[in-house]
Amino acid sequence: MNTRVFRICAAMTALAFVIAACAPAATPVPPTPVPPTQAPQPTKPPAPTAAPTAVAASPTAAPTAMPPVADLKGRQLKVGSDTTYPPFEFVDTKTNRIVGFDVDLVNEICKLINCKATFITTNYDTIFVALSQKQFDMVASGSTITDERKKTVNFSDSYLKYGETLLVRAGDTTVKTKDDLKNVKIIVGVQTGTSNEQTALKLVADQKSQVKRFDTFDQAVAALIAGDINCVEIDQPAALGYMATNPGKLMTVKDEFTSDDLGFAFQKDDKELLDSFNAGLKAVRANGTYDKIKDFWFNKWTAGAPIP
Amino acid sequence: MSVDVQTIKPRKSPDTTQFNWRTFPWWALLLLISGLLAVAAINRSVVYRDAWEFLKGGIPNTLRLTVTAYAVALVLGLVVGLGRTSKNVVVSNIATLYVEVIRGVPLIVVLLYIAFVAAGPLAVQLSNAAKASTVPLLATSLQTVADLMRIDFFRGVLGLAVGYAAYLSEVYRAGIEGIPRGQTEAARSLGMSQGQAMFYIILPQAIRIVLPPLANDFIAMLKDSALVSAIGGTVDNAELTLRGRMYASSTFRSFEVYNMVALLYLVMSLVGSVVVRFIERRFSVPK
Repeated sequence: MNTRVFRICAAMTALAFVIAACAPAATPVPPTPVPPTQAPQPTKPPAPTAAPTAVAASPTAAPTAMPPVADLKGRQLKVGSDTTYPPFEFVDTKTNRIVGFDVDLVNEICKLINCKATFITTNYDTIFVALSQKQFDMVASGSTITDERKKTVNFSDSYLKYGETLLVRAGDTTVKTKDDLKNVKIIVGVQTGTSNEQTALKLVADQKSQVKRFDTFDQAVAALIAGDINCVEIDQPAALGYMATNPGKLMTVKDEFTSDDLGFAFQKDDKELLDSFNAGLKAVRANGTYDKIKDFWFNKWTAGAPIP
Repeated sequence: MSVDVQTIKPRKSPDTTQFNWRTFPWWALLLLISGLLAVAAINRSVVYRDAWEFLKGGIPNTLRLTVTAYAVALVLGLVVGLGRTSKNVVVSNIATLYVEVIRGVPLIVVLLYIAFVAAGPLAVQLSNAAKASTVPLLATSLQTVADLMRIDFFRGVLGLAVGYAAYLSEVYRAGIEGIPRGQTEAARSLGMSQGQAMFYIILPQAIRIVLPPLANDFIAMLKDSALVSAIGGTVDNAELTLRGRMYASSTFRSFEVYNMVALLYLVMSLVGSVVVRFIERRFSVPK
């Protein structure tokens, strides 16, 4: 090979290495790019509650004045989450921030136990395996506590109880109750890897042809609105979330079935974080912060209140 | 002085029956041995066996998807390739537009677009048009297309075929343009029209030349069929990758499942490669 060609190739290889080294990390590792978008979040939840009562400001100021419930010494937490699940976690398109019930709850608890949480978007169908392989410190993704999952990860105490329901197109009466799923022509959409998938499999007559799996719930909802499927088996709060983001197009059936507990997931050997979070959860329930967050995301936001 | 013919010894051709360390396909032997070891390990483990029971249903779906999509892509690619070599301004511009647009969008985005943006509303529009139409033939054909748009299999086929036809058209074009101009000139001078020259003289030669790259692209599409898992599906119509994801997410056994999925794709591709090699040898243009 002549010298000139060789030098050009060597220069291009070196350039490729330099670019690869300098490129910002696409996913988790450096916390530095992310805090500017996450930092405003912990202080925001008090804002929507300022309207109803003036005294609302003081209870939320109290947590920071109280001694910390547990002390993780400012530990940086990588929180794995499938951020396509309103109102639990989703991306606010106006500000490009990850917002939601889970986000606010985790940040409030972190304020009490002295740690810093960074939410990382990931696929839901591999989230628990990724957690067990230590890619995250915890998972906060509207996850149901199930025995099957407990074999791989630990769960915190339940932070929300909810029911599952069927989301259908507005005005569509093909599916009225969960028994309608026994009709082989009805197709149910779910997200792969969720407890909703398991519930749907139990409710249908033919598991192989009636349950359509999608990567995310918003794809399932898009397919529902487009008319590809008849209904989506989804958590009640998320159903309300999708109805809020797609006004007039969706409705839920009257049936609300199963009652599941949601929990935060932790690595099997991380007892310290698990215990701290449980203590923090008890504290936020006791001091009223939990009720405020829940009220905002499940009442005010679904009615169309803007996200602070 | 005359040359003594007896002293000119004929050159000995290499003895092809002798075992040659250099030309023996060691890589294939290594893969075969590791494949047999993998199968043995799988038979001994319950986890692998259960995974295989669930995954094996995905293989016919993958093959069906690939074969159908490739058949459509071959035809569509030929049409577009002919369009690109055409002298007609309108035709050649439309063909070039198609190729540039499709090559500019990643295949997975094409599939997601078809599944979540285009197909549903298109089916609705076609249905409405079918109902509004007065000509019965038009109505039934519109309705048939509308129904096809609803089916996941056809969305996958459409996405893959449209994506690959753009690349195949370039392969065809290379073949057509590689035929010496003398062939067209001779055909025209014999009284054939441009179309007849193309169909009877140029294309048979061109296709024979491009058969190896076309066959290789089939192997490529076999692997790209995995992208169809992005549009979701039921267990019945799920191809291999989607089955793998479904099984891994409900049993948390990512390690075993994805090992098996990768192995299965590898086996399918290797079998395909052997067929491709056979086709290449059978149809190779003699020098």
